[in-house]
Amino acid sequence: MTALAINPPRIGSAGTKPEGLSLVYQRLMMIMLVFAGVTTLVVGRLVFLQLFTDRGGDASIGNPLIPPRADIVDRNGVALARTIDAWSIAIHPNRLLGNPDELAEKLAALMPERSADQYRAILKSGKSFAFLSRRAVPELVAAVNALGEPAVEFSREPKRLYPQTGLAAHVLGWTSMEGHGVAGMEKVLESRLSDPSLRGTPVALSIDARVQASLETELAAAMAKFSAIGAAGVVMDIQTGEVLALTSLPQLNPNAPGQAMAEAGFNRATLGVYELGSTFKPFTVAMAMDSGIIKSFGQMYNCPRALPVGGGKFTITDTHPFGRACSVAEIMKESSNIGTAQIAAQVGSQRQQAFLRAMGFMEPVSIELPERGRTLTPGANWGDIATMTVGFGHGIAVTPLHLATGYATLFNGGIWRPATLMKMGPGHPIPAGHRVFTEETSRRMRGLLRLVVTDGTGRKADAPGYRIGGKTGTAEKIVGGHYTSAAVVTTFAGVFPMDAPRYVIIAMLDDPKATPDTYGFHTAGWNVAPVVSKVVARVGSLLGIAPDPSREADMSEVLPYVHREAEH
Amino acid sequence: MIARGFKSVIWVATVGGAALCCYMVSLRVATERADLAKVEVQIVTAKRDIRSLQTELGTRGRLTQLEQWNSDVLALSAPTSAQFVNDRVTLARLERHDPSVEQQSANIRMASAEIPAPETTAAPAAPKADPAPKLLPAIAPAPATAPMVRRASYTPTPAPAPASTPAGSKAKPAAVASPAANPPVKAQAAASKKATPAASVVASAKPSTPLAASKPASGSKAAAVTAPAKTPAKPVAVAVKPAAKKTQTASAAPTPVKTAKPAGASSARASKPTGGEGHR
Repeated sequence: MTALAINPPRIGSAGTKPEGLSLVYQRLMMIMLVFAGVTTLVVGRLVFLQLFTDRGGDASIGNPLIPPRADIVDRNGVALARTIDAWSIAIHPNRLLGNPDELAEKLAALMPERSADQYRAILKSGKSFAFLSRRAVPELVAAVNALGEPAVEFSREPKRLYPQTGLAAHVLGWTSMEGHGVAGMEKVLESRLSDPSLRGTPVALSIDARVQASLETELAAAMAKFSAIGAAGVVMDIQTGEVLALTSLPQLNPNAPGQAMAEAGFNRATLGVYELGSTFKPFTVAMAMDSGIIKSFGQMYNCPRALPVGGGKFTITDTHPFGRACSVAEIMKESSNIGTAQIAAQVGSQRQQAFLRAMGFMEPVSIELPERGRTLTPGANWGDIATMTVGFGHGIAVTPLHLATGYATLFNGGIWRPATLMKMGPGHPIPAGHRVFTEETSRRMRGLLRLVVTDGTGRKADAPGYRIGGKTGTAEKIVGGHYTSAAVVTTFAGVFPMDAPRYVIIAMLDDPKATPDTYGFHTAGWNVAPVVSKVVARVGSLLGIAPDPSREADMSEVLPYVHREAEH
Repeated sequence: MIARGFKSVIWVATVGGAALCCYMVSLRVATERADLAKVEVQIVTAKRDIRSLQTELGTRGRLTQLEQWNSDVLALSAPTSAQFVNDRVTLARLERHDPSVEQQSANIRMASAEIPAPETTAAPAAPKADPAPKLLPAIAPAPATAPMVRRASYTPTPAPAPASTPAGSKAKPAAVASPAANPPVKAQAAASKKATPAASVVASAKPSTPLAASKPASGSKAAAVTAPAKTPAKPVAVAVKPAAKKTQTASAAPTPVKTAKPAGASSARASKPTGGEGHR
């Protein structure tokens, strides 16, 4: 019914049907176009997004793996320094809700590095921000969080971590709170470590963590045993100049450098200069051999009980005086000052200085570390007496690392190369260096230094099978402007294996005391030589030197001249 | 006409449909990409965890800490030069030659001392000590007879007692015949030893389990036992005779040591048929 009622108007408009229909079509088309337009717009947008969207997400995903500061690893890839996300605990004192006195007590109980009064002062200062702890362990964070103070803020910030704690602390150095290197290799490599393009790859040092640990342990044990005030040690590859271990004791923990004693921050191996005594004698003999003064180890020198020099103003003495003529081999074996002084006098001041300069003994040691000590030399007073005393290691003060470089030069065929803490390899080629001694001298010196260990003052440095050769050195310290026999610096400079030298090892004790074990002696042969023996026995095989009792250095040139002495 | 009028509409619909399909595809791709990104994030997180765990492990296992543990607990020391071997010859010298079982057994010798009769040992003990110890090979078969002897513990108590006396004369011929049949003389010693306890056990034997014992017993006494076990049950005249002969030897064993075993062995053959007869 209703349909019928509606129909009539439609029928009524039937006259305008064609126009109406076209109008409808038109409108329909318009709507269609609108829809199509919207669809096109959407599709276009999608295509655009698909094609031109910057997929930066990938880059931001890769980033977290690149640390804010590059790692430092040892030559075998053991991590020595890393950057981790550490928790830091801070507080906004102006937004404090709880009772500051109560909170201060609780904080002092949780973090005892500050007293309750100090915490109270911080809480009542009204400042907007203060750090409570910059490097907190998760347990501490949880405990502080449990206090329920909303003003306390926890955040994660990158922190430098030294997983091996004190190991090679003086080589690595440490960083400031802001993460910048302030000492050691952290300082030297600052730009390399923080370079965004290189941060991903760790920096490999020449240090071998195992050798470093052995050296530190044995030196620390000797230091404790002989109540020394300090110690230093170096192990170095004599061919490349790579430093495998470099230590200075007392140690410090680079994770908390501020808590260490002031003494511990001092690097004795590169910054401290010492008169290293008799360890210089091989240099003097080598100089004389290169200058053509010593042609054979059988060459004789008159060795009286005391040698007056400088017109009788000074007297050179020996601990084991010969009181007769002795050969060069005997002079070295018994570490005779009198004999060496005469050899040095023959070498002469000019040649001695030239040799020492060529070995780098007149300037700070060449190594990457910023902590390098200036050596002390006679300077303008380098006369005959100075030449003689320098000949046996007095009147000249160098660092233990100088000595290591010098011994490397003497036994690698005579070529000086700078010491380095960077691992040799692609990008770090072995430097050419320059020749100081002849190869012949270098070769002949092997037997002489092996003799010191097999028969002479360094017998306790011998490690069976490792063919150690070396020289002991005991130098009196200057206390109050005078040399005193009460305080000494004992050193052992060793090279192993002596039949084909590969590594040099230096161990030094600062002011060791005599013990009942050493029968009251505080000379190098008693306290520091055993350290070398122990370290070499521990690291020799790690460094690829198999102990072999059947091998020995060529001693045919030296033994004939000491056997005669034994027959006396 | 309508079709022509709708042509454009159809076109638009087609394009729209195609666009929608494209969109669906791109949506699908986007989903896959998102999943991939999620996995990548997981990988990164895992890598970061690995790094932090490595750091923690390295810190906890730092060389100074290991050194401390070593000095406190393990006390290990560096190998000495003697512990290194540099060439094959030295290595070969380290080989220890352990002798094989044959070589070891070849060296083993068994000694047995023949103790002479009491009268001889009394006076000349020292001079005769030299020839006395004899070296004998390790093949002493004596133990083989041991289990047989042990099983001979079942003997009914009442039956043999009356039968033993008349059969005593017959035991002797059996004993005489037996040494010829059994040449190994060494076995005698073992047999004689075991014969004595066996004889004593006879008294306390239970007649309850004669069958079980009789079966495995191929030896002397077991057989000897079975026959008498049946005799009380069925006193057959034929069966009793040989059976009595056996039991008699067993009980008589303590005195004539040598005859004990061979007698049993010979009687074992006789006993079985008798037992069978007894049943029938």
